Amino acid sequence: MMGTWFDEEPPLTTAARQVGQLILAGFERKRVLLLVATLYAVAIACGLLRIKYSYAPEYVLRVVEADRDPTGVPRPRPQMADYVRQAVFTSEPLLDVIGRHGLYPSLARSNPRAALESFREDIDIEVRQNYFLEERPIGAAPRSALLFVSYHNTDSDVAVSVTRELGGLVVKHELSTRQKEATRAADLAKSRTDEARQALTLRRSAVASMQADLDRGNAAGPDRRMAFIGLLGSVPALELEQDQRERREASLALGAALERRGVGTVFEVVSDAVLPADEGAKSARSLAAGMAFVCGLPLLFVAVGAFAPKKAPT
Amino acid sequence: VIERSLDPFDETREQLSSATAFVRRAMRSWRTAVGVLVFGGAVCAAFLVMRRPTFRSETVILYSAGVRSDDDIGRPDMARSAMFRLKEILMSRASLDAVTKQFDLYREVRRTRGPVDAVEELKKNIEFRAPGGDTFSLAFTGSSPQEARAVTARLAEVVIGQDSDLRRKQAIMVSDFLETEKRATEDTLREAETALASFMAAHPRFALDATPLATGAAIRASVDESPLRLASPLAAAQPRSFVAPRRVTAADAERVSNTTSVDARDATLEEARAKAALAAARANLVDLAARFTVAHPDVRAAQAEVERATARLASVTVAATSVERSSWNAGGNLPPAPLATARGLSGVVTRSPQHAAAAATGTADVSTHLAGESRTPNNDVVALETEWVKLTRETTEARQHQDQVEAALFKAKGAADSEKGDGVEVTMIDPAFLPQTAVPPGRAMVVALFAAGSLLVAVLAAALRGLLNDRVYAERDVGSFAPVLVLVPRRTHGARY
Repeated sequence: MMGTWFDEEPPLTTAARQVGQLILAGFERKRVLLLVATLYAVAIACGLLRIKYSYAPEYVLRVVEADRDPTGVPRPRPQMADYVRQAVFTSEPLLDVIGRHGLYPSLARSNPRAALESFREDIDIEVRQNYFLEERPIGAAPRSALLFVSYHNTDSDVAVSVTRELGGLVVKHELSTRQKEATRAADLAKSRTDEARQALTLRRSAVASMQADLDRGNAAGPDRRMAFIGLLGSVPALELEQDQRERREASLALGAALERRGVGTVFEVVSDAVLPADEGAKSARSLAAGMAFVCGLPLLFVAVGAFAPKKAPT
Repeated sequence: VIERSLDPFDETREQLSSATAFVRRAMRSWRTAVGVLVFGGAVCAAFLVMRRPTFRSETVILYSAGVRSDDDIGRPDMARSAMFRLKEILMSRASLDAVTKQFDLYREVRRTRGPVDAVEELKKNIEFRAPGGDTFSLAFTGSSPQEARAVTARLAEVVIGQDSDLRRKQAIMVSDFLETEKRATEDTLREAETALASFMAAHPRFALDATPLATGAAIRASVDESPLRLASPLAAAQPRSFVAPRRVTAADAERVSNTTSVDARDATLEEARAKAALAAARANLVDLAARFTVAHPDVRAAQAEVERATARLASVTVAATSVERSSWNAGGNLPPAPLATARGLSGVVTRSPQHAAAAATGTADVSTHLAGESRTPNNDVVALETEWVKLTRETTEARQHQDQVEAALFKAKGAADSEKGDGVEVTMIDPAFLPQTAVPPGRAMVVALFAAGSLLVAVLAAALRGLLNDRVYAERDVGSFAPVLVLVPRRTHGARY
């Protein structure tokens, strides 16, 4: 009965025996083994010293919209992370941060654009519990979202200060933008209300003037009377329009005032980019290095044993 | 020939020795490898000389929808539709053709193949992305940093400007249409009001139906109650609110009724109408107050309506009083009789002196004159009510239509003026920058890529030559086809035998 090639393969015990022979052969070359092990330990130590730990403190903001009619305040951005990344962290403020904190010094001198790109790559923005993705019905509770901003740096102090500045930049930019939007909308609503008031005043004066004419002349024609009726009929529509515009103006003015005072959409600082103590990280790194040395040592024995010169047959 | 079976340890050694021997054999073809490397270097140099570096500039555009209005609730994502619109504007042939001419882009292509191909070439180098957050990035890759920045900035200006123009034109078109529609609705409303006014002139009792808050027939019934009651003997026998210190004769009443009946009728009707309007406004206010708070806009509007109705009733009351006084004055020597009942907000329709006089005589049906209508059999009440309802409905519909048109016109005018308003706003938040390095891969990267590729090809070529080389260099080369009898060691430098 013919077996398959699998049956002809040596068993695992053979492989284990072979590894054992290689290790024993490696032990026989003690000097070489000592040299190789020393080199390996030095390489691990160098790596441990050279590879720096990256700190990424988190600046957490809770964004809560105003508890009022959502039609009187600027719209929140549903895709907040993308908005912050693209519209808040623009070139100018980020270059300013790079310059003040001396980030990427060589790259910033040679190619500021590349430094800016590196800076952006080191910034993480994340949004959790983002209820702004859903439309808020009238009368519903205010929506909120958690915005996480973090910056990676090997220096913990720099990481914390830059992260805090980035978080502050988000708050400042948003408050400013929303205030401008609200003020602009309120100003426009005011001008439109003035237009409506003016139109109503003109119409009322026309009505009064025509009424006086009709009162003076006893024999006014039917056309004139009909025109007077038409004028009278148009007044309620203008009053209604003025009323609507006044309501809109009042709503927007209140929204603008809230935004000016900073109590419209609120940005609460939940976490001010606090870093935990570094002791644990250092011991973890030392443990990892020790494990790497212990696990790599048998492989060194095998390698040294494999390249041992062939012994003469006895 | 004795075949020896190798144990696993020796087999590993054998494999290592075989690999080492193959490497040695391949290294004997080092000239081939060097040749390949030199060739690769030459190709790399030629590529670097012929390759023209490109530079990329980018700008970011923000789409702001402004403050939300009531109409925006439930509206689909506007930023998504804006993305398609902006992309269409950006990629339109007319605008790109203008840009190619302005910056003299792809001159050779335009000269040889025409402006259409130049525009297509420009399209290939434009990148439009919507990374989210209502932002859009626009990038252009050009042959120089200055060109890249200038073209990117220009493209952004074109997109923003044309989008603004497009929205404004659309708003103006809508506004123009609504202006035309408004004129048409005004004409319709005027016609409806004319028909209604004609009907009211022919049938003044229906004028009591002016308020939209109560049923006209009910008001008319309540107002008609007064003159009809005046006509009855019972009402005449029990005057409620009129104090007459002197006796009124039938002659006086007839004289008064002939001279002042028209003014008195108008005053009474107007007063009744004002009272009915006030009652309806109050009922409306009570209804709304039961459902909303005082601060609710509808409640505030209802309060204003009550105040207006109150003021109107007060003015009408004053006017009616003056009419009554003038009627007494016109009646001759009769002194003006004081009205016992103040024409307050809650009082009933107060009867005028002529009513009382007529009632005292019991000879004239004053109400028929007050109504101003001849109750002929041909004047069917049902037909009149039907006609009245039809006319009022037409007027109401025409007015509602006009209100809607005016509201839409208001919004359209706001949209047409969106640059300073709360409408959509597209702004450049990150302007185009001057690129300082060429688009990757740079020269160093190109050289590294060519070096790696050449080295790989060189190693493969040397290995291939080593594989194909059938010369005998060592013991194992012979052992594969013949047994080795004697092995003579190679003489090393300095060895003495």
